[in-house]
Amino acid sequence: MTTDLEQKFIKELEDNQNIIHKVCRAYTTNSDDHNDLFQEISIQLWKAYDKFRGDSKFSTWMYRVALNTAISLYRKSKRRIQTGELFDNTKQLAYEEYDDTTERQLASLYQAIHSLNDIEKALVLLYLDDKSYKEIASCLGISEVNARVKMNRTKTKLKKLLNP
Amino acid sequence: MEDLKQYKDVWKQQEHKSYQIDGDTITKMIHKKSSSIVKWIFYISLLEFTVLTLINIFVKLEDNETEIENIGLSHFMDLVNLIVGYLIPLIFIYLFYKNYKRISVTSNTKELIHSILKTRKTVKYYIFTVLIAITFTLLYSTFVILHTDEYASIFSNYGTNGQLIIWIVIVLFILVVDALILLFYMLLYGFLIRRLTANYKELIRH
Repeated sequence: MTTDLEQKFIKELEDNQNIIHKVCRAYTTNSDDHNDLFQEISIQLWKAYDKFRGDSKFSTWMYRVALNTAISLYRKSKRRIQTGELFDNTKQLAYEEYDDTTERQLASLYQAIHSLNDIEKALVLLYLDDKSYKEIASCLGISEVNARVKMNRTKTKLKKLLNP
Repeated sequence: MEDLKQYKDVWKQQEHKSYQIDGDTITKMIHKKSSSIVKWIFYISLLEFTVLTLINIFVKLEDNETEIENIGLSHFMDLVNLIVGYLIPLIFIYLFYKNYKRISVTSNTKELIHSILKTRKTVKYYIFTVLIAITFTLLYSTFVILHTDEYASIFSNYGTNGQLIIWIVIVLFILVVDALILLFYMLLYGFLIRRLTANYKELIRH
């Protein structure tokens, strides 16, 4: 039997699950790992939910927990799939509603993100979702100046990966 | 960065239709067991505390108690056992628990990783302390054994140089055992927290 709090949480998570999927897709390279990470993030969110005071939006709070979980979760080092094709091919059907160019761009974007380290991935995700430097610094626990320096470095790296 | 802005639009358009998870599945998911590193660190640390504390309590110089009494160190050894066997583990368990409780997935990333690594460090220092205690206990125990009636005469037959060599061999043997334990330990945990340490270094790098 679920409590009111649990029902409220499940509804909010269901409505905002795209945020978690973005994080999962950036930090994993196959569907099994994606699902495992989604489950772990959901557990961590639920465990922390009673401490969520609503000072920030649920989606912002969720983003922080999702990134923290992805960054700190123990993962066995896997042989890197250089082409990034395994994940992208299996999921290609999911993007049938987009035109080819959009799908291709999204696939290459994720492929490039997979080549970044955990912190760079977080920076890129926050950048793509239009978070301010203040928010980025607060989420990662670094100064705004450091966030800017890291972001510029990461963006240059990402650009090179996208346009080799 | 114009071309990155282009990707931003693509990013915002994306939906994850093939992944969409319904409320029932989420309900089942959140009641599953977590596989977070924090949980593993907690269980592994508890196991380490239990095993090492038990070793500490049971590794006493029982066979040499008479000799200890004879050389008037009975009270001293009781004090050592009390400190090493009970007081030190209690202090470390308290510190470990305090650090563990500080770990919160809702804090910022730097704080989170720092608190996980700090919790792990507490256990590492406990291991080092116990290793040092065991080393001294072994050395002391060897010293006592070599001075018992049974071995003292055999030992004295070796002369000063011979005795020195025996001591060097014993100390080296104990140090090698310590080094192997440490190496195993560092490899095991280095592997477990390697990624976290790398992420922390990356985060604080300017």
